[in-house]
Amino acid sequence: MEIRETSPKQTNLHKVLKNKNIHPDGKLSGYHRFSIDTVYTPPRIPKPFSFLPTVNKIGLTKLLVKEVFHYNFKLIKSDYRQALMSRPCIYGVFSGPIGGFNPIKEKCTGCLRCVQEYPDVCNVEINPEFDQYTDSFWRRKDPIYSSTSPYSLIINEAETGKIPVKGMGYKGSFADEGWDSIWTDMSEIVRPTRDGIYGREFISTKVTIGSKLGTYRELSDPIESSLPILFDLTPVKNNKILIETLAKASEKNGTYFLIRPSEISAIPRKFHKNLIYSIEDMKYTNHKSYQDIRIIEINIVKAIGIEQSMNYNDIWKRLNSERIAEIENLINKLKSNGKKIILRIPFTDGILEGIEKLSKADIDGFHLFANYHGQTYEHSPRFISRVLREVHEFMLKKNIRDKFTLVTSGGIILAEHVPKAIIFGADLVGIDTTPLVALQMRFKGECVDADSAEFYRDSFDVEWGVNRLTNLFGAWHNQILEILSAMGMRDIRRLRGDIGRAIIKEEMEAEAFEGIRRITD
Amino acid sequence: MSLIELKINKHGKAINRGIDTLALLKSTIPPALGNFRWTKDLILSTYYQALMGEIPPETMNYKTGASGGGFDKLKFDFTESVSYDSISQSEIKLSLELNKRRNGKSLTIQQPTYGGGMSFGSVSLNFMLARAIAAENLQTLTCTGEGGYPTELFPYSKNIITQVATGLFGVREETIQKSPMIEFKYAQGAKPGLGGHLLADKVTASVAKMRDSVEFSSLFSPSPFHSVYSVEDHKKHVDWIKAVNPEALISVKVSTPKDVEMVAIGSYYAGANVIHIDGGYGGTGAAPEIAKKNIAMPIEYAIPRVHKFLEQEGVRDEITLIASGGIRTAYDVTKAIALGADGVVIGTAENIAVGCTHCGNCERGRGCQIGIATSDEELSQYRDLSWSVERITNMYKAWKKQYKVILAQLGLKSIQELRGRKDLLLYGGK
Ligand code: SF4
Ligand code: SF4
Repeated sequence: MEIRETSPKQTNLHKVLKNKNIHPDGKLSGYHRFSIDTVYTPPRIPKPFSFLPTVNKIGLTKLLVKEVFHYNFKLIKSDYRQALMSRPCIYGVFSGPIGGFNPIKEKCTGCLRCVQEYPDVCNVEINPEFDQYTDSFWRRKDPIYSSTSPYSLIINEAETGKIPVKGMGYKGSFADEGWDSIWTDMSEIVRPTRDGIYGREFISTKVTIGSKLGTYRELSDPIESSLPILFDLTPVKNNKILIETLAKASEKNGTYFLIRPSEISAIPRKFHKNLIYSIEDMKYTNHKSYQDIRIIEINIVKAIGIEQSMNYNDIWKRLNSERIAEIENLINKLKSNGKKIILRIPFTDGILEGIEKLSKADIDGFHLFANYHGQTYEHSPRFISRVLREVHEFMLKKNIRDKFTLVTSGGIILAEHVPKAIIFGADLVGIDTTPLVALQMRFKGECVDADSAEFYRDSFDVEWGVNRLTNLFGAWHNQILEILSAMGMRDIRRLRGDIGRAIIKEEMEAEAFEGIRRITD
Repeated sequence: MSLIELKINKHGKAINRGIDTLALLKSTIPPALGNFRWTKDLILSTYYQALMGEIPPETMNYKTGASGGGFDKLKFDFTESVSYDSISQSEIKLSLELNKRRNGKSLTIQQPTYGGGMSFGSVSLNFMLARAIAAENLQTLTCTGEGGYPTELFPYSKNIITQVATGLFGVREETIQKSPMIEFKYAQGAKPGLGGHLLADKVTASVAKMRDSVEFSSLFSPSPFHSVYSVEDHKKHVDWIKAVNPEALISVKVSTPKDVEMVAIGSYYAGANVIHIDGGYGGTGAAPEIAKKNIAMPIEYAIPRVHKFLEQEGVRDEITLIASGGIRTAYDVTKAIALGADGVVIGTAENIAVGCTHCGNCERGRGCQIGIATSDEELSQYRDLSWSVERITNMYKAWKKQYKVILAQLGLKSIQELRGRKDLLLYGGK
């Protein structure tokens, strides 16, 4: 896959000046333009190759003999010998010492020229190994072996840090469930810059965590994330290498990682300011280890003693005044230490009333989560995009939207899902299985939530992992800029809840196909 | 013979023979061929039509892909259909007048489609020439794309649209004067709002010369035009072209934002003869993957929206609505017209006709392995010119036969009668 740089080309002088924070006119600017420095980070284990080119050896022998006879005595000339030796693959699959008798499979791009040229001798199959790399959610949009499947995109982004650019048109399904049934809008004539993707004006991807209301003093010292993306609680618990990698990558890129209390001892203190401490058990509330952490998340489900095996919809029944008082006490205690508080709640039936009740507490935000496949925990599960929109609109109606930050997670696996979730009302998103894919960790069966997900245990170098995740952030950052710039928008915060920027399949279809009789296929 | 000639002789001919073998299903079909949009069957049936000039056998699904929505879930309602033989197919008219305004020169094409812009550099000169000659044979048009107008195309200038895109690469007054129609490209469906991309490896000496740029340096054209902020600015562009070539029709190519109908009406008032809307699922030489699927709406939604709005504004019969972006077959063309387009622009299907596998490697250094989307000297000669002309011409001949079958079954005597007849469609999507 070809890739391209999107940062403007800089002269050495510019680089020196940038490092010293000096404006080219010589004055100290103090300005640092946000960018993510990516570095090529090859896979730690060979990437699975997509295609399996095969050659019929008897057919190939016959072909070679035929060609020798065809050129015959002319083969004394070097050009003819070279023509005889020239193979149909321009990607070098047949360039090994014995050519087509031992194809170098990993070089195959699936172009199919060999089959077109010698259909009786060559064949190209799909590598069945791909199926073991992810689960069904990751395989929906495109055939997984395709270079444009979610799996291949993430693996390439983590390797290169760059935007995947490919030739030819889109190959996938027309529209799928959830994020894939939404398109973002664009403008024919308005852009934040007149200079195309090179040298574009600054587009901000920074978001604030906490209330947007309040005094000037409060707002002038905000907690910010350079990207609207957090690492959610890991799908595998207590994996020291993974936890350290996520924490360091968060610190490096100015974003946050949600960590379980049981995991925090693995993280050196200097990284704590980029952690969000997710309290799942009340016994950890006095824990000294989180004193440098600025944001605390209270998992409502766990805090009121509901287990995964129970129905999440029960939380609202159990959330009686006693429980609310208990949670409020905890919040007050944490707040007195200057922490921001976020409540982690599942997308369930009754979520709107639940949010209304909880919004009376002195909290800074909600983290609404669905499972890793983006499905809510409602009696009739839906994709989170729908419920997220309902929550956002409900909070607007109640005039409480700007009081709280909304984080959402579940089913967000690709760069394009981020702006879509923001259009539907989120301030930030949490990603769960994607970093693991970037780190080449393999799924063991279906990976639906943290309580049941299993991955093959793997070891890797933390610095390697940090580079891979930085690359992932770099590629996503640039893709978010592409989406924003196509709309002519210069700040991701302006996109929040701007539903007019979404082209929603069911709405469009109802309008466009009005008058067309529906049939069952 | 030189080494290059020997290689072209060896590989070019073998590829052509192999494609025919595949088209006739005389060999194993590779499992790696095809994807949801261009399925194995669609690719092979296009090869078949390009080889035979005939409608493929019903054992191949040559009508729909497997994308699960849009054109792939729309079909014609033939239940009320007139007996197929009651309308003589020779009576059925497939021509399209591109100038629907009361003034200006008439420009009629003899089929409801013309070729979309593919620039010099993104595709080989050989392929550009093949498209131009085929357009001449079929009495339709093709388009230069944004990379300039090679002199080899001059003999076919009556059938060539000059594209003026945001990078203004290779735009010359001389070539504007040659063209029956000038196309302003504001955006491309596969990368809306992002501008064109030609990656460094494809910017060879001749490509750079044509584009007045630097060899082997990537070219990104801006989005949108630096000189256009409004319909009034756009009108100035139109006036500029009219001053250079008063007879040329003006086409405005845009992608499909939510307010696409406003863009369409604005273009009409700025003096356009053709509004060309390009949906997201169409082809490209290179585009960020994120842009192909996620930005702007599919063409199936945009066509009825624009058609209806132009009707409501009372100008529908004064402007030609052309659709493109993921229109792959004769069936897609007729469905697009039934949704409200007057005609359609075709790109990728012409590539497939000359052997493209929809592999998506076009952006790479040497580009296309069989010589379509490449600027490599050797590879670009793998597609023999006359062979390619014949293949493209044949494909459209087979399509014309299908249009007539469809129209006859619907009891319509011209393709224009089909425009906006959504009532003749059925939708099986979720
Ligand atoms: S499919 Fe293409 S890349 Fe793969 S072996 Fe054949 S010619 Fe080479
Ligand atoms: S590189 Fe592949 S997709 Fe592109 S034109 Fe060639 S065959 Fe078609």
